[in-house]
Amino acid sequence: MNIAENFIATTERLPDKPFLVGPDGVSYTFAMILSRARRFASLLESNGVSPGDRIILTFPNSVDYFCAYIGSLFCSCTVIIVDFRSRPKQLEYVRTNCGASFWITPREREEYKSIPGQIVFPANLESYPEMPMEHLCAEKTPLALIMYTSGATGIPKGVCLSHANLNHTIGSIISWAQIDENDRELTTLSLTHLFGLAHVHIHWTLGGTVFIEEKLQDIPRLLRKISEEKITSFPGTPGGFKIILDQYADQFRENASGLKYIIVNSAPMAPEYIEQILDLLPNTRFYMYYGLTEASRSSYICYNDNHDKLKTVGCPTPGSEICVGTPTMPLVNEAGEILIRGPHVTEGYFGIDSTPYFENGWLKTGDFGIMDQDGFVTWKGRLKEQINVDGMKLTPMEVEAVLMEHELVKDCAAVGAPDELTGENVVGFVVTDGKPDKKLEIELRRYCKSQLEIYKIPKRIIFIDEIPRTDSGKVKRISLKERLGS
Amino acid sequence: MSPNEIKLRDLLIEVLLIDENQYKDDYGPDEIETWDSLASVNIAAAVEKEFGYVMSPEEMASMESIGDIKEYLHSGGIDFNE
Repeated sequence: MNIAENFIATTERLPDKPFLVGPDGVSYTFAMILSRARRFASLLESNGVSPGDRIILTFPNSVDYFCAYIGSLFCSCTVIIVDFRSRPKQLEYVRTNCGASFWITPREREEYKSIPGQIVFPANLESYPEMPMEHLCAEKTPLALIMYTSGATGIPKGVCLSHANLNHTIGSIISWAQIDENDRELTTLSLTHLFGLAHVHIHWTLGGTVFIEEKLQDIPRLLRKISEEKITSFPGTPGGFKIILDQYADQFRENASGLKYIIVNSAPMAPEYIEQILDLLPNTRFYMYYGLTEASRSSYICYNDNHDKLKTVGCPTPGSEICVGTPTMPLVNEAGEILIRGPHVTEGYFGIDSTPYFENGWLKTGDFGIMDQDGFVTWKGRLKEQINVDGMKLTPMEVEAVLMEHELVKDCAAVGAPDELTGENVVGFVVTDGKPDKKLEIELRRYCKSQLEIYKIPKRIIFIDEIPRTDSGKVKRISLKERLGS
Repeated sequence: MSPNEIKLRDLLIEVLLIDENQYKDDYGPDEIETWDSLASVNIAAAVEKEFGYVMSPEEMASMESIGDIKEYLHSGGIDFNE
């Protein structure tokens, strides 16, 4: 079943209930969003869009984004979501790779003008007719989303997620997090990533309300909002919660005591911060889950019930199977690659042979972990070279490819460096013909800013005489990481 | 531009990767795309390192523009006059 049909069913049940409250504070009921999404669906139809077409959405967190998203699903399209901060080159790569017919944006942006297929979200949406109800989700298109993630080779791969995958995940989270239609969520997460987006899927399935913020900014105001708007759900990243706990612990306790639950994902969280949250908010359920875009919400834990497992990311979620090592000889209390199987797991990557990423139906995650005798998984790191900046993933090769474009860079390598706030940050090592000074460092970081998303910009550039490599030319990243401490 | 103003400008150029023409008193997170909460923490750390001024959590929270940073530093006895 198309996930947008969940939204239609909820709207029939609760038409006048607030569904989305935008960053500007304007509230929209389920019926209002249904109307706007139907109008957007008509707009797509009038542009010749047919069921099964692929449509890119690139929006900041906003109500219009969801009107475009649900409207695209109404047309039985497959949606590709691209971060609004992505550079033109990345957008064009995704568009060409997935063969999208159109890409939708909230406003004209000069740098992106040359990319074909642009549709600007219309200011006069009301002038478009509502698509007839019987036309909504008329065709059964199995593929709901293609989410592009950084691949091990540095080339983004499109993770194919079916409506069945997403419906399973929605049902799974609802069951273990005990979410219901009375929940009111405040989200500062990027809704172009599956963590935040899946929460909106849940609330449109149940009838909850989502207060959308553009980003985690002005935390005291957000904390007051939690209390004033009687928020019950506050998902976030470990980095975001660290800022709150380090700087606003008292305000957090005063304003957030009414939270029913907190959900954290994306990167490991230090046990002392977990304990601090449990201590500050004793009546709030505190969940952590582990998953990848390819296998969202594969394990979960409620720390309130598992004080002795704070270093773990919990047990498999309902329907999900996890093993470490190999399916035939799973390892217990011993580290190996984490493998995942279940109805939430992607069937593969768009347009490429995905066989190497699976073993007898199990997804090879590339993550390194341990499963204990009770079935709790501890995430230990990555087998691959991916860098994780507060849940946002990248590969060193993405940064290296950009740095190498600069005329003064002779050779380079990027690594993840430990970061108290974000888990990891990006550090670039550069061999240069130029003068290795602060000015060049800023110039190179600025060049990265012009080509990459913000979280991928190296926080530091270190100039060295030579990049250490193996005989076959592979960068010795461990050797570079050792230099970070010196 | 006073020496302290130059120090602050260079610090923000380094942390936020802004151009010199974006160094304006009324510029803040809305105008500078790299300025979010994580960046605010990095600004506070860099200000402490460069000026020895420790920002309070309230100051960090209400830091809405470059002008605000200058005001806090000024209140801490750091002169921005030429």
